[in-house]
Amino acid sequence: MSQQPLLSVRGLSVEFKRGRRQPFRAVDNVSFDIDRGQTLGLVGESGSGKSTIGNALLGLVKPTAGTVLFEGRGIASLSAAERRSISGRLQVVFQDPYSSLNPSLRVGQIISEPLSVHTDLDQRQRSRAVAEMLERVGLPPSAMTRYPAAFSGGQRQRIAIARALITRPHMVVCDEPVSGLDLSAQAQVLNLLKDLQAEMGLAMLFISHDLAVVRYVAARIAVLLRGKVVEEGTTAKVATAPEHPYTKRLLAASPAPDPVAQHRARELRRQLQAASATLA
Amino acid sequence: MMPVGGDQAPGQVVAGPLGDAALSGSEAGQASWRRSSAWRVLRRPAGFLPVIFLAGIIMACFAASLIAPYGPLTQNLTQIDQGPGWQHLLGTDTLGRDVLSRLLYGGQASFIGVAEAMAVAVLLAVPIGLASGYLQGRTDTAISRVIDVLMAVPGIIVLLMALSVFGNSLTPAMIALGVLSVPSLARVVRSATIQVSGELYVAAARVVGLKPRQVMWRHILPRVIGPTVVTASILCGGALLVQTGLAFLGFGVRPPNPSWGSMVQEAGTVLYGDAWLIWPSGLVIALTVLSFILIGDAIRDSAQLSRSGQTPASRAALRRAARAAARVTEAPRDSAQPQHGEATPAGPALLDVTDLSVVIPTVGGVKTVVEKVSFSVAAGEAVALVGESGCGKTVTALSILGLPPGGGHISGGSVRFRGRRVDNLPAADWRKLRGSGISYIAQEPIVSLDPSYTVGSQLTEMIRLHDPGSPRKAAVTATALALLARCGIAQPKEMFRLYPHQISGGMAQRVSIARALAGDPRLLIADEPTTALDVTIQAEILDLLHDLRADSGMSVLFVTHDWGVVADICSKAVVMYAGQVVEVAPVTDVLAAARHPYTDALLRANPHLAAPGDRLQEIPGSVPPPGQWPAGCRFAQRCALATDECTAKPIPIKQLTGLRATRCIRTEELAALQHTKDGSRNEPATTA
Repeated sequence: MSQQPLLSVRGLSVEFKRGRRQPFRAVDNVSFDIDRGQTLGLVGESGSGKSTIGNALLGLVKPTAGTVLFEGRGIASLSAAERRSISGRLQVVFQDPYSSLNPSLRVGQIISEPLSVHTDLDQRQRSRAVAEMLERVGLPPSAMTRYPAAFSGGQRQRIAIARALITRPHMVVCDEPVSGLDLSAQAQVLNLLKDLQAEMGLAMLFISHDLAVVRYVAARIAVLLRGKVVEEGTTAKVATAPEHPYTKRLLAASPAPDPVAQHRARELRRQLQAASATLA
Repeated sequence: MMPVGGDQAPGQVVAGPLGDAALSGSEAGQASWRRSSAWRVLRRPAGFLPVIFLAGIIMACFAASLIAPYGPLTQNLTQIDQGPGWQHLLGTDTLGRDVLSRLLYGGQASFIGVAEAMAVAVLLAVPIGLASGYLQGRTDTAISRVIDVLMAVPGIIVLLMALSVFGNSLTPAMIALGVLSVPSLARVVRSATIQVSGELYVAAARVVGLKPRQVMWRHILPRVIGPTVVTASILCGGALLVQTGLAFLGFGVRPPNPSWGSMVQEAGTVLYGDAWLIWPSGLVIALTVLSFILIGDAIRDSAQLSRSGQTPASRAALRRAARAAARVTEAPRDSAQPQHGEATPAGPALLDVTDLSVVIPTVGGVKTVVEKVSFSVAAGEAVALVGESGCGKTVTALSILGLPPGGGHISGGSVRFRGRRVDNLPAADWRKLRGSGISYIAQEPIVSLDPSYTVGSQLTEMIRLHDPGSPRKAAVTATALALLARCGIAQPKEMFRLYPHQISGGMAQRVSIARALAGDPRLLIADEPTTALDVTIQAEILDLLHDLRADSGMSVLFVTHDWGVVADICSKAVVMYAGQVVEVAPVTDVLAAARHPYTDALLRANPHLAAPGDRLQEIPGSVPPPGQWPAGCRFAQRCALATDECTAKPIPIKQLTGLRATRCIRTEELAALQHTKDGSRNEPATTA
């Protein structure tokens, strides 16, 4: 604990106004740390507030309470100009590769946009950097002159990764980056993310509903239920010996490609259900 | 072309020897986005004709001094009130002036007026709408209030005031008209902006650190141009009518100078003496206004086309067809159908699909999307149709129901249900079969329910359709409540009264299952019914389907891409790739050792089976789309075991022992490879 973590979130809460009704508390007093080069997996079901946490880190929603320290600096409520100064080091890859790329810009323009904001490279240097980055994510340099519509979901997600990494960020928020992809494209993107992480020393907040994916990429896992972290720990512990009943339910529900294991999981599910029924 | 693909260095990201097909297939996408949208407008007559007409008439008007046969004021009192003829193509007016020449000169004022009004409207409305829609909050409230007030201003009075204040000059009046058009245009820009602002790429641009001004200019403006142009084009038509109307009333252009409005007015005064004179000016105004509106419509239509083209169009069509299928499985029961509980005919399988081929018309011609698919489902069996998107799973499932999507049709092979051929059934017979014999549940439960009826009324409607012999309301309601309870809904009476939008996705899927069960089907086709649901809800739905199947002996055909779901509920797997069946096997066997390299690769790509820290095995490239299927093995270009023999000619499906079949000629090499690779996959690191 001698070194301070790259990202440190303490008591983060986000509320959304709902007209005259009680505001909706999407994120409730959440705390976690992410070290340099480390990946924290954030698991939860829809409505658990996992994307809201990501958006709060990125400055897309304003936290109601709590502190977010990034590289020792509070970023919970920055002005637009201050936010700009850190945005080169804190980037994002979103879920939907269709809506996350502007269909009217060429791929080269999309990837070089962060460079034009954060560096004073000239046109030629920028396009060289873009070509390198494209190659790094496994796309040919000729992709630069095409529009996003010409690419498949997996390829678009590579473009989104190239855009996120071109400024060499220290941390990337990955918000369900493989949920919309087929198994084979998912494997390609997950491998790519892991390789780039090892190479660039990236830290990641990896948000997903899929425990199998999170288990594969993350060293630590935080489980989110209705805006609260109910369990946090190393992947080995959370994914094999969970303590919280919700984590147990989540694990029992996640379908494994093994009929015997599925049969056991079904039994376990029924037991858990019966147990919770008797409790209630 | 492939920078890293050929490099086999272990540390290198061999992320994509990009399937050549994937890139060459989208060559069309390389064409400029904007150019292609202009092309889409012009390609059809409804876009092409008005553009040509309008361009022609505008050019002619502004070239009037060059092409008009006479001056606008040149009188020839010896030739008044003439009809069309060689000397005067459109005749002459009451003072012997050439109508064609006056129309050409008169059009100048009209078009200039329209241009002034539109320039003012667009220049004001676009920034206002953008700011209002993107910044939201107080800016939006303030702008919206001002717009509301402006909309309440009586336009004609403002115009007449402008004319009287500025000495009957048309320009101030048209500027005033432009300002009066701002609210309607700004509202369009605002709502388009709000819609585009919700897209993730706008969020990504904000994260990158762009200033609001830059975000609006680079990322939002290009996307709101479309709706803006549509509205502006229609406003142009309106502005032209206002302009000619003012001229008709004597404002603006002063006689004897020509304008379209004053020409109509002059013709009106002699309508009984010279019926021809009203036609040229009247018609040119009507056609010009019509052109503006038609152009607006054509742009709107092409924008809709391109939006649906953003995601593969066939996928949208698939979803529509799936929704339609979910609705049409509501059909009256054929009273001749054996009741549930009777012995099913022994011998042939419940469902027998033989050499089924389906074609779908696309822009590039009719394409085969499913080719010679054969498999069977026995009574009480649960069969999985597995594969990645674009492999033809859903098309196969819908075609079995007699509903091939996207205007397609079955082009070969047969589908037999209980030994009876159903692929060529007339529509009326199909209606009897669907719902009672074969039922269907879709991926999106909420959209497959009708939002304007309660759950109860949708369910009772179905029960009545299937069982017209029990008219008593109480009995039908009781049946519906029993169905809901059977589908695991704890409080069926409450659920009965709710509307689809009031229930969660998981509950909606239970309701659609209840609806599908209303006719006591022998076969339930479930198209990714849990993909859109949370994992805990998915488990509940799978448990439900598991129990229902155990209780009723119903067969299930489960379309899915999730091997975990396959393992959970199915006993047989049919793996599809690029429109073909590539492997058929009992689920336990295929999970232990696949007999086709595609199945094997798909299983190895699954993170569920990987130990943390391992690399997932990638399948390079992507599925070749219909129309680009290679002649030989369709997986060969992505397959590590492929040889020349694989690509030479089509590979037939080969029967193996133990009810297995594969479309591969290198199964022995595959088995050897599986043997040398770590055996960890046979004892998966399961989490349960």
